[in-house]
Amino acid sequence: MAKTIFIIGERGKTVLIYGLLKKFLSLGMKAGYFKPISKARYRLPSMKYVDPDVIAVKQALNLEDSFEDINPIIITRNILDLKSDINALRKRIEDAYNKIAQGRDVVLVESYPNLEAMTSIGLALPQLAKILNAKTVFLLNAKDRDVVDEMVDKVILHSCYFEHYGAKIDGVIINNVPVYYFERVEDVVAPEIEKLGIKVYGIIRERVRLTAPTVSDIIEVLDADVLENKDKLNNIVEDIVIGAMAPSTALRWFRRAVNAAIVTGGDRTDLIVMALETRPSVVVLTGGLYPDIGVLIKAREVGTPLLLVPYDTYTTVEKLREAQFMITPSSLKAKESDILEVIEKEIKWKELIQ
Amino acid sequence: MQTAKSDMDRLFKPRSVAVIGASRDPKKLGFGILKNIVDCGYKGSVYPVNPQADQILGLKVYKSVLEIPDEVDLAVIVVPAPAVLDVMEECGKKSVKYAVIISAGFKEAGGEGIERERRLIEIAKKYGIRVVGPNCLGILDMYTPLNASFAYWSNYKGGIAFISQSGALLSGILDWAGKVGIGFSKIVSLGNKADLNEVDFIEYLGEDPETKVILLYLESIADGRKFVDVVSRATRKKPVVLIMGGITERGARAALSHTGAMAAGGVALKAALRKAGALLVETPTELYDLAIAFDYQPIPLGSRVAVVTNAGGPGVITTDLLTARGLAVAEFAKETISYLKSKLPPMAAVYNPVDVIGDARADRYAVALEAVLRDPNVDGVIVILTPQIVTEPEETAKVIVELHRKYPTKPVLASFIGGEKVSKAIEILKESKIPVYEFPDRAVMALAGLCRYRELREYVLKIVEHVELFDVDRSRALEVIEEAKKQNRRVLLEHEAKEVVKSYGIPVAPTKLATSESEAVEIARKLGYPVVLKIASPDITHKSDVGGVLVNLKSDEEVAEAFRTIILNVRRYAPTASIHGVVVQRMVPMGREVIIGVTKDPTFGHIMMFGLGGIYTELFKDVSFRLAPLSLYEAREMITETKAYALLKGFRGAPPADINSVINILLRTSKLVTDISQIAEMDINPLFVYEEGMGSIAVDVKIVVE
Repeated sequence: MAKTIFIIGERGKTVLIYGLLKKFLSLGMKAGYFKPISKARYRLPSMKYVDPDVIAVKQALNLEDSFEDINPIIITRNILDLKSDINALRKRIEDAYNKIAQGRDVVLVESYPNLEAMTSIGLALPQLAKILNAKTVFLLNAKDRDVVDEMVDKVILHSCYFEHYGAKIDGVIINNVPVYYFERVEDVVAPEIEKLGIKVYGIIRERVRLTAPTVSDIIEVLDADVLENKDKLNNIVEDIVIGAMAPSTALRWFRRAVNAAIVTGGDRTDLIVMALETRPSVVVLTGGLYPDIGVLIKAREVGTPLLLVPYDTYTTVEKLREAQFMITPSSLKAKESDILEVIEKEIKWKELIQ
Repeated sequence: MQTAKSDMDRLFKPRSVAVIGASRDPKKLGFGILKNIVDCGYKGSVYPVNPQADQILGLKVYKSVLEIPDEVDLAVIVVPAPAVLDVMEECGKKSVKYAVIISAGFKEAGGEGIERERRLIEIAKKYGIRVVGPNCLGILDMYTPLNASFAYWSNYKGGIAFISQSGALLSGILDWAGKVGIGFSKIVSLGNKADLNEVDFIEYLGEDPETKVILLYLESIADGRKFVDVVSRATRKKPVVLIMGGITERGARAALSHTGAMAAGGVALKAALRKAGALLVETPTELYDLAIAFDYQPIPLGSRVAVVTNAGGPGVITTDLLTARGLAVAEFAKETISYLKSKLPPMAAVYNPVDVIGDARADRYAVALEAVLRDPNVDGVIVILTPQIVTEPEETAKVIVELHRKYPTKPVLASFIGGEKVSKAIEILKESKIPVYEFPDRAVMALAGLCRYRELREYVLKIVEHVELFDVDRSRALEVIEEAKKQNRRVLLEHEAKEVVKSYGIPVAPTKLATSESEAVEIARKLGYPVVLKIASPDITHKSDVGGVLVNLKSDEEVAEAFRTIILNVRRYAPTASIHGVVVQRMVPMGREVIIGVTKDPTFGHIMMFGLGGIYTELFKDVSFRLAPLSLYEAREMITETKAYALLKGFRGAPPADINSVINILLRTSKLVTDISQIAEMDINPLFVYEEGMGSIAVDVKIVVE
């Protein structure tokens, strides 16, 4: 029988699951991915809704399971209406899960982000945990808190909720711990959680970024035209810099950024050339303003992709910010070695599958 | 690079020239160029190449360059762009030494042209052919004579060499020069600079005995460092005058679309030219006025100028202009004054400017001019003439020519203001190489240029000597930088940046990184109270703006509290910044605040900056710039030319500060960025300077690497 681990909780679940799966697969284990319920965010050309996280994990790991099996239920609008079909829903989840679990050593299950989701129709997280006979692990995000000790309260709240349904939280993973909280988390917070009888499977230090979109991802989000270097779209994008000041000042900002998307108007020849000089990941020209031929020559020389978008600079940056947190097959792969390092050094992954 | 002099002689003085793409059609460039070579009186062998013709201009035409029986020194290529690569292959097989590629359709055209230019360079390298162009007008040598271009030929030989990135500018100038009688030595149209660029030609022309002054029109500089190096060597022998296109933003845009290159920014360019000793002018008029002065006249030994005039007004204006241009109005020796008094009418002014008054004939000019030329307090003379009833323009011109021959070491420039009445006189002056201008402002400008060149030449020699610093630890500095790069950072944290400058012998306020409250307290105890805590984040440039700095902390409790406060402030005001902890720094006593900065210009490399530090930097913009590496002379000069110098010397009774320690730190900073070129930006701000003998301490240091 497959060992099932149900990952619930805050930001970072998909990346953690991807890392664990990658790790298990590399050990020769048969590992599967399951996301029983997701929100519709993306529509395939076939008009079917898909969760982009599911696409990303499936494609990045080359999983052969169908989308329907990995993610049987997609919430489009209403949930209360589903109440009458609850048995059918459960059945769908069970059937799909069984297909995924078939012949597998371990299945990682990703939950909905919030604790209370689907409680109203009888599909609360602890109920799902029971259906899947899964070991539940709660992922906490330390960075988002001004008072880091609050995480213990959060764990107690979740634990009580699970106990209410006769389930339990087996352990926690504390994610994204800034350097200035680390001592506190390690010396005070984690022991406090363990006193509750809940294991701490890992404390993950804050890293600037564990996923990064590639230029191709950005092209898709921005619906951009590629003016130069169509064959060099695998650069990762980790930073966004806007070029709006005098070239000499702008240079200071361009230089500080690493793997940046530099955004500026298509008519700002001086800035674009200056930007290219610092070898960023990509230069995005806004306002639909086609640049000077000299700019194209320079871009070709330095090998930096040059994109043209119809939006103004502000809109472009907004869209880019969204894209930064987007999980795509290539964004998962971009920093794969970093993700695996986290799993190896900071997660007690052996205990997790015991 | 193989730019040995003898070698470039094969370009300017080839024994044989092949014109590949020679045409029978007089409307085509391929015809025009061949005709130019034949018409200019070129003495070597000329071989037209064209697979479709038998004879052009009476010359036997070859089907291919490979069919030419003799050696070919120079190939001028005018075939359409797509055929150039094949032609170059053939030239390679024929062992052609130089190719001037007129054809356009390379990098400047974008698209496939970029690839074509890359291939062109490959072929040239493979066979060792040196290339001028592509997309250029050609080259000319007035002494060979050779006109391997499609420009008009001017018959005047002279000492002016002109290297231009704009071909059309050249052809216009050549036609005009013929009219006004300016003589060139060599002319080069650079085109795309795929292979040979300005540096190669300056190096050659610097040694060329036929060239007295080198003029440059550039829109981009291929290798800024090499440019400075080569120009500074050339300026020791002859002036280099530059007009730079594309300095303004709009100009840069035009220049970019023009040749596909970028103009260097203003500050960097000025710092570079100062080091190179090149004269920068702004207008083509200035360029030629100066060129003529350099070609015709000697370099003055000083900046004291005498003015001889027959009209009061122009004399006064000229005197004002001299002062405005930084020249000195000569104070005559007593003997000169009494001599002039005895020889000139009582109405005449015998002090400088010398007014020989309206009724002066040539003889009176002769008396005055000879007197001032003889005077040891005079380094150069401007003679002004306005035609009045009794004036003798031609005779006066002859007097000037005569006296200049007699006193050849002092430059004499003339301004004959007028029309027809002075036109013959102007001809006489020009023929005898006395620069003559319609209005005195241009004469003053040109003379100022001559004086400026003398200063630059002396300056270039002064800054040759460099102080060698040995007590530096380059590997330690590199270690710190590599560690930051491993963490995918271009910005060094404060304690890292301080470690880097410390390894170069620059004193810093002791600073360490703490990642927790308890660690901060531990460090504070070790360093000794009071301390300063500052946020450690590569994303925050102005730490105090986000509540990231707390000073004068005197106890463990204050340090622990400050740690929490700073983290909270930064989380609030800069939520996206990545935080690496907090640095703890020992408080150092206040000193006078100055800034030492470095920025790396894409063209010229590291530019050093010095000025008033702390909060005043951005307010007063009182800063000086120099191109690294600094000589001792430049380091001292950087300080003395700012207002900060007054502060350091001791303002209003304050004791003098340790200026020598600042010079020392400037030199060490210069050494640091020269040794570790990946440093893109660096700031020591503030540097606290203490009283004489007490040294200086870097309180905050920022470093950004590439």
